[in-house]
Amino acid sequence: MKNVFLVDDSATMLMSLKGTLEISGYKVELASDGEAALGKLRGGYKPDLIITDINMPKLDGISLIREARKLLRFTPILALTTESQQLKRDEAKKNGATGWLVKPVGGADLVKVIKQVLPGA
Amino acid sequence: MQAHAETVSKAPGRLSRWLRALTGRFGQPSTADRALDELKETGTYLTLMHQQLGGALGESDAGAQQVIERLQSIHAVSLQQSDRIDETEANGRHLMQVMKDKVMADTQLGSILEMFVQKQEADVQANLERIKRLQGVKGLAPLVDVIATVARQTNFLAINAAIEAARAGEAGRGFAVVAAEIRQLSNRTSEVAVDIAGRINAATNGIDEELRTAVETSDRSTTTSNMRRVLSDIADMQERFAQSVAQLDLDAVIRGVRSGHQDIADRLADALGQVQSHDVVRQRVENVQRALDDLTQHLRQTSQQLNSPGAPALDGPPLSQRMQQHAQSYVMGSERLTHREVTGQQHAADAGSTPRIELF
Repeated sequence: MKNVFLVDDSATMLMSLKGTLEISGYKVELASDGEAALGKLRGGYKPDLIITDINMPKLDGISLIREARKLLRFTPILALTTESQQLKRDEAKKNGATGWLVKPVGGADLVKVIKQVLPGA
Repeated sequence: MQAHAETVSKAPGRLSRWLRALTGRFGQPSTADRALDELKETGTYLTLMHQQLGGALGESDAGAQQVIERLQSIHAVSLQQSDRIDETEANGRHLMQVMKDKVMADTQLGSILEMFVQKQEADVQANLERIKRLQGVKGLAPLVDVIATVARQTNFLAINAAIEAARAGEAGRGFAVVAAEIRQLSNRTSEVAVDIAGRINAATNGIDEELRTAVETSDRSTTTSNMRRVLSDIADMQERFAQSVAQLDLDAVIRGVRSGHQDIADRLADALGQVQSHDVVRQRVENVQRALDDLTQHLRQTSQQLNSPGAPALDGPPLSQRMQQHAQSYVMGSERLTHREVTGQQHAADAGSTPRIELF
């Protein structure tokens, strides 16, 4: 069972995404902001995939992607955000993001993308 | 920009003086005073709107979370159903195996019974044949008649010999003894012939009786017919079982149920994903709340300026600038679209549409 790390400052988002992914057969860990997420990664947690929001308190998603990429070189990182500016998208790509998804993304589409970036999942 | 700032800083002072002049002229609260009071209240009203939006967001959050919990509980029930189906499948397969074993055992039993019935029938037939062969005893009866005839003629011969011996007198005395012995032997032979005939008759009657009984037994053999019926029942049952197995197709049923369960799970997963729309709304409303805060602050400063003619110019930026700053905080294309529709201003980040899902 693949591990997915969800990072979002909305409890509702975390609940809904966790439900979607658990029903689809993934093991899910949660963090409610970038700082908490980075702390967990620095503590040795190695997920198979990270899905992060961009606009978050304490540490934003772009910064989290940059720092996470230093720790996990090959782990796919998806940004799942309401942010639609190309500038931000380019910035995330430059810092090591694997993909960019604009909310809302239906559960079926989300699982499809995850299967693309996590072969065999 | 400098000129604009000066104009802005001077304007409230002039307006205030003019408004106060109007108030003094009529000696009662003027329309302008009432307008100032209204302006002060506007801030409270905007704060109220801010709080109402916050409350609505909180309720919406709680509602969305309840929906998620319900969807998850549906999935839990679906999982329980899936477990029950697995259990039923195991029981069904066990039952099928038991039935197959039973049919196999019945088939073996049928084979044994068939062999037994065939042997039974062969034995009965062999008995009949043996009894029929015994009827050959009847063929002895004519021989007994021959013996009786010979004995009778011998008796006549002995009588004649005795008569002739009597005629011969002393010379025939010895011959008369022989004739008497022969006659005695003849009588004894006749008796034995009668006895043999009686015994042959009795044996023949016994054999006929046995034959009749054996034929009747063969015709009315309930054991054999019962066994035949059992064999027929077993064959029928095997046929019905084979038809039932073909119609049941347990694998197809289980495949169908599992496919249905997977479909439910996929739809639930998709429905849970749709709750993200709530987050989109939440972020947009929170941005409106920030704009309301900004507007409240602006109105408060404007009100203070109107009430204090000598006060320094406004600290914050003018409303148009605040609106532009607010536009910078947009993250969604839909926010920028609304802004453009209302103000006619194109946002810098508004150029071109980007895909909603993009893998780098």
